[in-house]
Amino acid sequence: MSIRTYFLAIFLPFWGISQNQTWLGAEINLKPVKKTKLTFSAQHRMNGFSEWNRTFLEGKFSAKVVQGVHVFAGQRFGISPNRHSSIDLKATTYLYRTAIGIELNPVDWFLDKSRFHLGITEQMQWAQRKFQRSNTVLRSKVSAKYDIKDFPMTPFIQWEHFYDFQRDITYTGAEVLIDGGTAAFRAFGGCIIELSKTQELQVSVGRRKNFLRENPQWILSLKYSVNLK
Amino acid sequence: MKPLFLAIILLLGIVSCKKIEGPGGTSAIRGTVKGSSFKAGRHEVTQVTCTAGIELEHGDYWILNTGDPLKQYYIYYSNPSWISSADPQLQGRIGIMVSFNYSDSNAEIAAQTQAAIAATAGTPFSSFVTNDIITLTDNSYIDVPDPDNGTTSFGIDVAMQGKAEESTNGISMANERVYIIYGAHEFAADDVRTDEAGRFSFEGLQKGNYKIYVLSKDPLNEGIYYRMQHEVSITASKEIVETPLFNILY
Repeated sequence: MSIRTYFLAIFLPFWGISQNQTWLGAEINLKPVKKTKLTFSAQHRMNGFSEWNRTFLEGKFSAKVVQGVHVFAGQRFGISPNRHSSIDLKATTYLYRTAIGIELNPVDWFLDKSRFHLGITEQMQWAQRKFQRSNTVLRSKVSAKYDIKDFPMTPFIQWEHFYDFQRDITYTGAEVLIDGGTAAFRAFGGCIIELSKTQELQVSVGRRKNFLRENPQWILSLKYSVNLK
Repeated sequence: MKPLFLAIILLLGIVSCKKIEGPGGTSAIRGTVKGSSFKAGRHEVTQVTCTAGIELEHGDYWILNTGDPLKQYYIYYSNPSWISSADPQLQGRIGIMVSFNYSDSNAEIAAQTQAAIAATAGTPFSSFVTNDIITLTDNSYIDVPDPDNGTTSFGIDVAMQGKAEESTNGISMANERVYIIYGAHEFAADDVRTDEAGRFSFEGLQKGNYKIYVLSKDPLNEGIYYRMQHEVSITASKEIVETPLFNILY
């Protein structure tokens, strides 16, 4: 048995466990105006390899404010299996998410054209889902990547904290108390493979730890990107 | 043009997310279930099967108890040929004498016994006779001490045990199931049970109209239930709406 076969024999059943997820995505990046970027993306998420978790389309607009500072806004529309189908007799349900944020790249402040990218992102997002509580989440992300010279692969890592402003709801005798708290931590590590001048494939493995969830969730993510001028 | 397109997408996303009645909110509906009950009482029915006159001897009697503690009876038999009194004179009991002849049949003994009982004033029971069986129905709704055939060979049977009326009023209904209907739906989508104080709470609800109901027993028909229902509206998030009291029959 070759090492590759051995790896697949061990890895595939493990990944089939539904608490792990597989994400498949594609995106198109456009630069409509100088210093701006418009991204349209789609992603299909599965529990394990085959059980459908959700699918969404997303539009995101970002603009460079000053060197090393970008602001962005985005909107996501998704569908997912309806856990409350007994109420509205529909197999799927909708979810919407609006997000705004700011991304800082401190390296750009000191070096004009560096191969190293350090991103610090703060994103506020408002999600609405039918039959589920709407939530407001502040996401704080730190990411780093290094574009290796004359090499088609760019390694990257990122770490993210999710703070949900409506995480805990307590129904007391006279009132409803809502408190915020950490909802999840998520980390990704992988590489961006340059397929051509305009096409990339991002392969990464992530780990997510949700609040009150005993075991972490592993994520295998593949994303195909097309960058158009 | 493109910023306008993006703005439209954003706006559509915000306004098109329709929230409807059901889970996914921060409000709650609470209430209390109290219950009342009434179980009708039952008259005690006694049947006495008499023997023929030839089987009765001097001093024979049987005992009849009633729901009135001041009116307990013994029925004794007297033959005109007997010289001494046949009355056993039981303490604390009222004696009813039945005259008979040795030639009387069992049906005649029954008829004469019933006639003597009916002629006694103020008895707390009613009676009738069918062939040789006397049926005595106590006026009260209590479990009457059983009668006894005393020294006779009569067959005495309690055909129906007496039972007192039972009723409760406004007690807290613990562990009672309470149902919720979302919006204009026809059937319940969820249910909870009451605590020891009869309190219930549906939590995590969105704004909208809800129907809350509890099943109440039909007092006239065994096994038939009907809804005790209240309609309430949640008009704001983080709101706790109290329903009117549910007073059911159980």
